[in-house]
Amino acid sequence: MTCDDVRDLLPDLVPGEGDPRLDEHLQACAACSAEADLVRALVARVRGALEPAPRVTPPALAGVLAAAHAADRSRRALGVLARAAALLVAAGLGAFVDRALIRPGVDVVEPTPTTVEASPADEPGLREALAERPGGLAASLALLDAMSRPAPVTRR
Amino acid sequence: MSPRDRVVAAAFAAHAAAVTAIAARVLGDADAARDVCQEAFVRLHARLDEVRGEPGPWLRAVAWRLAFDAQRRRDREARALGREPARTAAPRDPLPLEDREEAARVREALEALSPRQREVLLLRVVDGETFPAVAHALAISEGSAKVHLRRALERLRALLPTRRAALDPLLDPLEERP
Repeated sequence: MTCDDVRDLLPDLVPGEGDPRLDEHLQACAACSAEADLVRALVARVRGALEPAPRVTPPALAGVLAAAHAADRSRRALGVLARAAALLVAAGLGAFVDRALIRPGVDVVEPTPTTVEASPADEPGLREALAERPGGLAASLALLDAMSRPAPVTRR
Repeated sequence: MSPRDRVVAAAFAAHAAAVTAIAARVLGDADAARDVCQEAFVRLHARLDEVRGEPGPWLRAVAWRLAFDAQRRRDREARALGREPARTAAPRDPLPLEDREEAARVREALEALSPRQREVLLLRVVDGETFPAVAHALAISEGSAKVHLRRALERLRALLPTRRAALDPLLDPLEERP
């Protein structure tokens, strides 16, 4: 075992676990033995600064579980708020798109008898949703959904 | 009691005393130590699905981290109020002044380590955990754990001169090495 090998193993000395090959090298190599002594002294200082632990009674289990349940409820409430916020953003975006895409003069409530280009607003389900409340959440989400699908062409 | 509560209760029975002791070592305050213990188990309750196997090392790692975080917050509050952070033990502590000052120096040096270096060092040195247990608790490889420990020891050696050198700066203990 070389001195480099020993240096790599020195952290393993910390709890005082022995390695016969390591011990043999340390007995033969004064430099590594001194290095090991320094590490052990440092470890002893760290332990001494943090020990002995003062005697402190742990908290009561009932209180710990109550706190855990309260934290769980808070996390769930935050999750609901986050989802509601996401829906509001989607509704706002849908309303924006809704107003931007619906062309002036097009009757979105009743189908016209003339040939028109396929438009998402021609879908019957969407028409009802828009009629219920143009620019409303249902209309906005339905519009977004319809835009992602090819719309049927209404022909005379 | 739900199954999750039962698992946490079992871990509490096994490890609450050790977790509280860790916090008490760092904070020196019983109420603060109990708060840290409670927070550690609340986190265990929330992340039970992520903790594999024996939760002891994981709980101790969390306790060390929470205790040092609480210590740092306490120091910031003290500075904000124009007070010196409490670095020594309470005046009625029976330890000699030199030992209390030594403990304060070591704690300051520990706080200068990175959080990961400190956690690995404390789990290995104070708690006596094996490298596999340390690696598992901190979700790192054994190799990384050894590197962190080595760097922590190097940093502490730089921050904490040997006690003989501290008393006599002209004496270099390395000169005694052949």
